[in-house]
Amino acid sequence: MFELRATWAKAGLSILAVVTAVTVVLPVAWVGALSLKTGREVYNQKFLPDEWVPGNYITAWQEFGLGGYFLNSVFVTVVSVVLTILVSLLAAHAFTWLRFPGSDVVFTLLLLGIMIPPAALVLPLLIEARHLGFYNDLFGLSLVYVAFGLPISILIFRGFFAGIPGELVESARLDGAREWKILFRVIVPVARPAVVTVTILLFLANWNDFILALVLMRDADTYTLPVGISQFIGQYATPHELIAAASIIGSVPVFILYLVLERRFQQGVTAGALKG
Amino acid sequence: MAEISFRAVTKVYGDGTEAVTSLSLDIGDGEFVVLVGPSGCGKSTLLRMLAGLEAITAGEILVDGEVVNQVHPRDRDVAMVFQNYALYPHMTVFANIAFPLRQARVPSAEITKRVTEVAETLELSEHLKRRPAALSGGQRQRVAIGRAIVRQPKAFLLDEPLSNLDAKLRVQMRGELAQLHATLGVTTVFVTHDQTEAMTLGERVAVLNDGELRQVGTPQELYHRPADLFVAGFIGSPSMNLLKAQVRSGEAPGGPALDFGAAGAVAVPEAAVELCASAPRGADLVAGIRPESLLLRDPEVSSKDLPRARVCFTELVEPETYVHLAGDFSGVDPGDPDAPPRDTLVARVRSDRAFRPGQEVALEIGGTGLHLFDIDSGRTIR
Ligand SMILES: Nc1ncnc2c1ncn2[C@@H]1O[C@H](COP(=O)(O)OP(=O)(O)OP(=O)(O)O)[C@@H](O)[C@H]1O
Ligand SMILES: [Mg+2]
Repeated sequence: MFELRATWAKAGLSILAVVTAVTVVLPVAWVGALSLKTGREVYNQKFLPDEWVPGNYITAWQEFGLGGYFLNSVFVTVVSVVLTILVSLLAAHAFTWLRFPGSDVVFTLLLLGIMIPPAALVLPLLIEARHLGFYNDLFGLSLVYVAFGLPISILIFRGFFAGIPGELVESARLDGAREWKILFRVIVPVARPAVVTVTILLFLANWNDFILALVLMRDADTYTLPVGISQFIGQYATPHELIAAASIIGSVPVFILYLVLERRFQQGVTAGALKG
Repeated sequence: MAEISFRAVTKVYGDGTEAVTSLSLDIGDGEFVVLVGPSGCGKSTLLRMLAGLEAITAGEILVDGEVVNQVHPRDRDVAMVFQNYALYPHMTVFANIAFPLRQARVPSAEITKRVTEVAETLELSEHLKRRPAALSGGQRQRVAIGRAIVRQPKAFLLDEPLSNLDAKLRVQMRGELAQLHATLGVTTVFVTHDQTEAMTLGERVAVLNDGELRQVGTPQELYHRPADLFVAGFIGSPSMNLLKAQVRSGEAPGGPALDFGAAGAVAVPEAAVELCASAPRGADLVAGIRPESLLLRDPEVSSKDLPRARVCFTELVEPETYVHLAGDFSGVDPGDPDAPPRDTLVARVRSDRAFRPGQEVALEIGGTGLHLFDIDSGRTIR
């Protein structure tokens, strides 16, 4: 009886998993198929193209000038992710191991940052950016991403740090290590899963951001990929197959990053720190 | 190496818990001192204040005559072995032991040399390339000790380092620690809640209860001249029997006697006659009788006046038997939160004497194991 029920539960779960996978994969596959069609075939009802045009990718790259956007995106994303990770590691270290009077209040204030959606801040941000000289500047855009990324990554790091035995830090202090060494030599290696998670999260968010980049960048040579691609949605004619190809190109780095980091994502690195 | 002094040290935690109360203690250069006391009495707190990991609420801690209250743990030059070892999980055994040297920027050839030496002393040479996760409990504990001794600190602080080892390994490591101390001669403060461990290891033992220092002395002093009821009940295994009693002049020609009320009275042994002479007559006090001084007599042949007790059960601990007895006595609680309630007496006899549960025995007191305590203050009457 019990086994029968377990079988049903398993079957149910499998069906659910398949439905989820299909829901997620189908639009991607559709964009992939679209990127290989000819312009005329775009509105065709068929899923797969009659005539395969891999050349769309080269056309998109050249005609849209994706190279420049690509570099801009890489710059903005790498700079913002690295800075965010560094700053939030330092902050989480302080919030966890160097408690100071009022640190809980500061931490709570920081969390407010998570609750306000970036879109709501676009206008004030634009004004602020103009005054501070961030406007139309790739590094400025990176700093804005850092600001939006900090709260969530500090929250995740602190949550993870809280699970690390405090004796590791105390022991390192007694062994003569300075705080930054404790953080980077002892804590970070132990917290690697959290660092990987946050890196993927931030990379995804910043690489794909559209609204902030659209508002804060004026000149075409400062556009990031999402904004750059969007420029080709014309009023009268839109080359859907090329936009699809460009979108696929744009998602490759995220995909690669995930594959690379996923392998490093090792669980259980804390094993052996404590006795028993 | 260093002298360490605690001067009226008090610790109150943020939530108002007073973990250590105005404690003063001097530890000599190169001495091996054991802090012992029941769970929660403030031992770890005291050690952590000495290491600089916990702020000192009041009082002073001196190392080599200098107040270190405000000195950062990094600059105190003390090494600590934590209750849970706290090894760096992502580093090899070599890197773990080398860590303090790396921080001190010791040249790497020198690091290799010293780590190798330490590993040899602690029999870790074969495991240097392994990570802590791949070690047994005893090996991990040795790595923790290795990390502490590799840099020749002013003092070693050990917080219950043996508590998670099995009994046999614990005894072995105890011996190795004692030997290590003999070779290195570094001032060592060792914390444990196990009085047997304290008694076997310490040159001097400091007994704590409830954040207060109850007595400091050699194991012999603690055992034979306990300062108060708590120390008397805490030190020794099985524990001292603590009974409400009165001293009165004995009818017997031997001098004073101890009156246990309903259970009857018993003459005090030679060694305690003088002690009983100085105790107040006819007032309630606490008599402490070491299990080896509680003599069990055959009720058929001994005097009818002797107090009687019934055997509850026996524990064979070769070459002795611990005989647990019940009688018309009122036991006294020494104030040790870990101790079981004392409604029975224990006598320690040679294992070739047989006792059955339910059997009646007559009690006498012999030897030097009788102590008297003030029933209100708990202080020893001398
Ligand atoms: N961070 C803290 N905040 C508040 N109270 C604490 C803190 N650490 C310890 N205490 C309290 O202080 C008292 C002494 O604790 P401590 O850890 O020093 O005891 P211990 O003698 O080491 O006990 P054990 O043998 O169980 O390790 C206990 O009552 C404990 O609950
Ligand atoms: Mg403790």
